[in-house]
Amino acid sequence: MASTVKQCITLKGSAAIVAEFFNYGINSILYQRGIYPPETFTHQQQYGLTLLVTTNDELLKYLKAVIGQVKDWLNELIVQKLVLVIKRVDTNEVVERWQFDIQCDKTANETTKRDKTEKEVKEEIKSIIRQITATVTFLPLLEAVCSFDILIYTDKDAEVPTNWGESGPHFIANSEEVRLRSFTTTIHKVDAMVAFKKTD
Amino acid sequence: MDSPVDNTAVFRMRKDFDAFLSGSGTRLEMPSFRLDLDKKLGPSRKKPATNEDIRAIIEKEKAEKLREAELLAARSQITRLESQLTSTQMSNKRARIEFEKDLGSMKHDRERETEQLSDLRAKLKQSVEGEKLARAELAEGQRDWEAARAAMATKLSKLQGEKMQLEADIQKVKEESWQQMMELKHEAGRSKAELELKVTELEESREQLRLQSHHMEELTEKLNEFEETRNKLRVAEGKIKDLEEQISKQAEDAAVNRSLREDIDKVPGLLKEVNRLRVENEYLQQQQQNAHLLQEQLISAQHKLEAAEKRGEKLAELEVEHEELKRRLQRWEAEDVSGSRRPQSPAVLSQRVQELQTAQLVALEEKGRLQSDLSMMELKLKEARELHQKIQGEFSVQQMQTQQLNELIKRLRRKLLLVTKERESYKRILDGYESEITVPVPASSRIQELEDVVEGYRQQVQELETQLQQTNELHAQTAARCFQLEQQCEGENSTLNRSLRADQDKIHQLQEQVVQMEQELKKAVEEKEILEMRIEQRNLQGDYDPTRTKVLHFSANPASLAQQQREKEVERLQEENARLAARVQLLEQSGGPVEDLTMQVEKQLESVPESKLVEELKAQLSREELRKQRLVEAFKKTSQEFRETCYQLLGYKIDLPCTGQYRLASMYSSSPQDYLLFKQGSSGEIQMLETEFSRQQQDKMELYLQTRDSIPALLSSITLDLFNQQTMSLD
Repeated sequence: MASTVKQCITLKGSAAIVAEFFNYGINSILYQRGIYPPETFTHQQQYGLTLLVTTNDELLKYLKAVIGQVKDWLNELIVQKLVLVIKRVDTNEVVERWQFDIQCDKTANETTKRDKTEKEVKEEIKSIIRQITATVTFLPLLEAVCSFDILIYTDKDAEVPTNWGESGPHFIANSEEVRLRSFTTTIHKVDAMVAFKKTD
Repeated sequence: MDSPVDNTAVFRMRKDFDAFLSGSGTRLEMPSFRLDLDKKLGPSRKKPATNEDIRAIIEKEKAEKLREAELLAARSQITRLESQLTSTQMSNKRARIEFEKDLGSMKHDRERETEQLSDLRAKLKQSVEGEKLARAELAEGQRDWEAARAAMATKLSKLQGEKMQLEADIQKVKEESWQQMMELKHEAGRSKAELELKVTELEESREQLRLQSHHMEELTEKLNEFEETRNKLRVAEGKIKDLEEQISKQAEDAAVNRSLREDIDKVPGLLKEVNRLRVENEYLQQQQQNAHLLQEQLISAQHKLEAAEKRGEKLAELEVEHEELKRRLQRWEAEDVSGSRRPQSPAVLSQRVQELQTAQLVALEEKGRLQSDLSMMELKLKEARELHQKIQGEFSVQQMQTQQLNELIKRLRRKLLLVTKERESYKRILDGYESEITVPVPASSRIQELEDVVEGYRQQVQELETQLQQTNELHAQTAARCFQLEQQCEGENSTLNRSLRADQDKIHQLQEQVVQMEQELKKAVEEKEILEMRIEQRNLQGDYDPTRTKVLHFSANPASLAQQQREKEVERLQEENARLAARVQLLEQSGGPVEDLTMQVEKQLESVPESKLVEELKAQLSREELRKQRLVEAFKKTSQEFRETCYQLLGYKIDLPCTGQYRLASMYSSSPQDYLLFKQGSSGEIQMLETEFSRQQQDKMELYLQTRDSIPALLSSITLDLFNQQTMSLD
């Protein structure tokens, strides 16, 4: 919430809000889907909810690096999607795909100011995170040991930083999709959805 | 500067001063003090601070007091002298004068002293004031200090309080931690004890395990033995079963043998019978063949019979037909006899038919002509009708005109009648006038006037008539116009109707088209929706447009890390597996406990990786070979390019027929036999070898090689030479 002014949202503030959402959203998914053991998570109050945030040092480092980069790209308005892929470690098969479509308002720049309060945006984010928590009821149980990867869909002209590489889209063969809520800062609009492997 | 502290200072000062004064006053009297004070205190204007000063002052005071005592003695003398004066006037007067003289001097002294005293007092006052000021300052300083001290004290107390609290906290925490530590120590002790217990237990269990394993081994041995015996038993049982089976088989065989022998006894009789039967059989077969032949013959005969019968029937039919035809022919001929116009033979008939056909053709032609005529006539009729209509229109116009004219004539007649009547009346009047003429001149003049009037009337009538005619004409014209317009209108109406129908058709068509288009639109919309749905689906599944989007991820992501870890784990497990397998193998080989098991396993494992090593080396070798091949290819390519460029640039194709030799063939040489040979010596120098071509270039060789020792120059000159030859030959 670094530089959001009370009454309006700037590009930088919007990027910060979205990046923060990703941080909490990814943490929530990792906790809910049991990718990391529950005892490595700690409680934190955010958006008027009690969220679980990892304390695993390596994971923290990774998330910091990824989300920092995403924030930069959000500032440049070149991110199209952020996808959290959950795959089996043994077969490398993609089991779940949490996709966050980002629609950037390309007309925005440093001086843009939008009339939307941070409170409203956070209300929207709150409902998404609630939905993520609720998805556990219908998502199939992850039986095998799974790990995750974060894919960023960017514009073609985006520079690839060191430590980053191009990747495939990691499709799920025979998948079922569920659309979740969305939120917008009026500069960035984020649509959430989850695709998971159909169980026969 | 006036503050309570200041006042206290002043008080204190005054008190000090008073004390000082009273201290001095107890021993000395004021006047003497005053007298000597100015002398003693003059130089030391500041307050007597030290004891030494005070002592000095006291000494001086003593001297002063002595003087004062003298003064007092003098006074007493004065008083005595005064009393002597009262008693003795003379002595008194003298004494008085002396006394007065003394008094005057004394007074003078005293005045001087008082002056000094006042001066001293002023100075004292000043010094007192200075002191007061200093005291005030001191007091203020003290006060500030006090305040500061107070503040510091409060702070200190507060801090001390805090410190106390913190100390208490620390104490508490220490206690707690100590407690915890104690607990932990306690726990540690306990756990240690437990651990020891466990260790002992573990050792015990190990012992037991060892015992058990020993037992186990024994048992396994026993078990093995047991197994072996069981196996033997099984084998033996199997053998027994086999033998039993053999026995039963043999019994069966014996029975079979017996029966077979019986059968064999019957064989010679059977053979005889067989021979007989064979002969019989042959005979029967022959018979059968004969029967087959006969049957076939019968069937063919039947077929023939059927055919013959059919032919007979046909013959009968044909005969009937023949009869009929004959009859017909007869009739023909008979008719021919009766009517001579009939054709007498088919030839005539055919001729007749031909004639008729030609006639029909002609008729057809005629018919076509007539039809064309008819159509023409129809056209003409149409034209005529139109003309007729037109003429009728004109006729009606004419009729109307004539009607108008008739009306006009009628009107004119009526008018004429009116006019004649008028004229007659006028004439009658004139006659009346003429008959009654009394005054002829006025009458004639009057007649003249009247005639003029009549003339005027006539003119007017004429004018009116012309006007009427004009209007009638106008009317007729308008009527004709009207008719024309009506006709036009009709025509227009018909065309309008036609166009209306066309329009309606068109509208209908368009409506149909619209309906069609709407259907298409609906279809397109549906398709679009389906496609959008599909796109949405694809989007949901994470599809993207690779021309506009790329997918990035952090290289050191948890999934790949987990993957790597897993690979390592698998490798480790494989290794462990190999080791365990070796161990098992060793155990199996020895069939019991093995000494230095681990060592042997290690040895075996060391030997095992050799195959792995070989595989790795093989892989490496193949990789290297591939690389080498690639390098060779690349080298070939570059060398080819290099040679090609050399050839293009220098005009010589350089080949290596054998190592150390270079064959140069010029680009412009006429035959492939024209080449130069060079040889590279061991020290790197180039020597020219003799060839057919070089023998032809002796002069140049002499010029460039022997005199100038330059191979490039020779080559260039040869190139130029050949080039010139080539171009010349081309020219």
